[in-house]
Amino acid sequence: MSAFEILRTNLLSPIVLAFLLGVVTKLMKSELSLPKDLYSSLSIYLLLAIGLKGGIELSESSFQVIAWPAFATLVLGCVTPISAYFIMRKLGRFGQVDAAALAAHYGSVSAVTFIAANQFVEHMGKTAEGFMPTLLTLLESPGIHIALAIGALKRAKNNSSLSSGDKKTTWAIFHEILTGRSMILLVGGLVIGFLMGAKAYEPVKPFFETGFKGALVLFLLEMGIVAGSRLSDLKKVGLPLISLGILIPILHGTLGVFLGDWSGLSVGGATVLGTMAASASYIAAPPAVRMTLPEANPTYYLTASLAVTFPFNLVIGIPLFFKFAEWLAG
Amino acid sequence: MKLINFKLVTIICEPVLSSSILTISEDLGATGFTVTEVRGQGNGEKSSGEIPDLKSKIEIVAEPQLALKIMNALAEKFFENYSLITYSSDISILRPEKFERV
Repeated sequence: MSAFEILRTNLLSPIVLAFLLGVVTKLMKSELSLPKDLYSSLSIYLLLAIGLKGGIELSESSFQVIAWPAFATLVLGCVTPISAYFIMRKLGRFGQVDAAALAAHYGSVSAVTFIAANQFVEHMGKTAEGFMPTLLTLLESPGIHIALAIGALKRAKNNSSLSSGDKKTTWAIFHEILTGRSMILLVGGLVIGFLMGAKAYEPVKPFFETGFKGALVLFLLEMGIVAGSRLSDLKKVGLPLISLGILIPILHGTLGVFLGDWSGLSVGGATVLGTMAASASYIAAPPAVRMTLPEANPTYYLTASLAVTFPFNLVIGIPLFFKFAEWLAG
Repeated sequence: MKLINFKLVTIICEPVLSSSILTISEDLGATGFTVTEVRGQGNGEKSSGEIPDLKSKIEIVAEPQLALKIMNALAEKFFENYSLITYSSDISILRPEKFERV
């Protein structure tokens, strides 16, 4: 399939169209928005569903198959926050604290982008490995911690040493990331799925799988509305951040696909790993950053991850990484 | 029963601050709180969270001195970098002993 056809297939997929409808809805200044509780319920359903399914697949995978992809994921988790920090500092000319805040977002991962990539490769007939959700949990937290550590160190250098209050906050942040809703549901789902195995999953399978794609469409509609409401902030953040919000995912995504291919993942798996590396967190990272780096401007990191990087990955990034993964695999 | 003059401290802030605010006020001696989820916009530029205008409203019943202590503590810690307002109003309560730390 040509690059143009792949792009077109992706653009006309239900989730991308639902996302675009959300954005248009907001641009038309419509009152429409999903009730907040429904939005939370949908995200709980989606995260638990991929956790469970991943856990079952994990129980059927051997350690040897997962070891190298897991190692590649950890490498990505350590490299991406640092590369994002330096790109934001050197190319974006952001201050140390703002650069660290942005790096925490780009070092972490967006679960919705992950799901969208899985759906895309499945649609293209190259379903990713079943243990990908395990890699998602591995990639979620190191990036945030490394970037926040950079930020905290730079701050400490500027204003004497860390006070005891700051140390307390560091623990609070660690606790918050580990107990955040996405971590609990993903890790919890993985453990439950792993323990119960495919047979015990059968009775609950219809609930978690039949409605999954429909729920995802609804969720993406709300994501579109949320991203649409951030569009007006694009003027405030300026062209440099918008460009970097596209450049960083291309760089990280390419590196992710490359490492995925190197570690033995299939075309689908490498595409999903690349997309994970390219994505910017918007659930786990913002509260952690807000508490640890209060001087960082939230408009920068929220607009970059929600209004620039998320739509870019959803519409162009995923097909791009897929094409690259296909090319690498020969 | 007799009505006693007390203060109601109200704090409207980014939801991410709620738990630290409750810890601070408890450490200072507040015995309880009420939190509601509200929506609104002030003149602050800095909004955080997925839904920008979502805020937490925290209400604490306290005797006047404690009310001032809580407000000052929050002002010192959060005014500079966060979206937060706090104000107090006069209220009359029954059973003042209910609001004292035993």
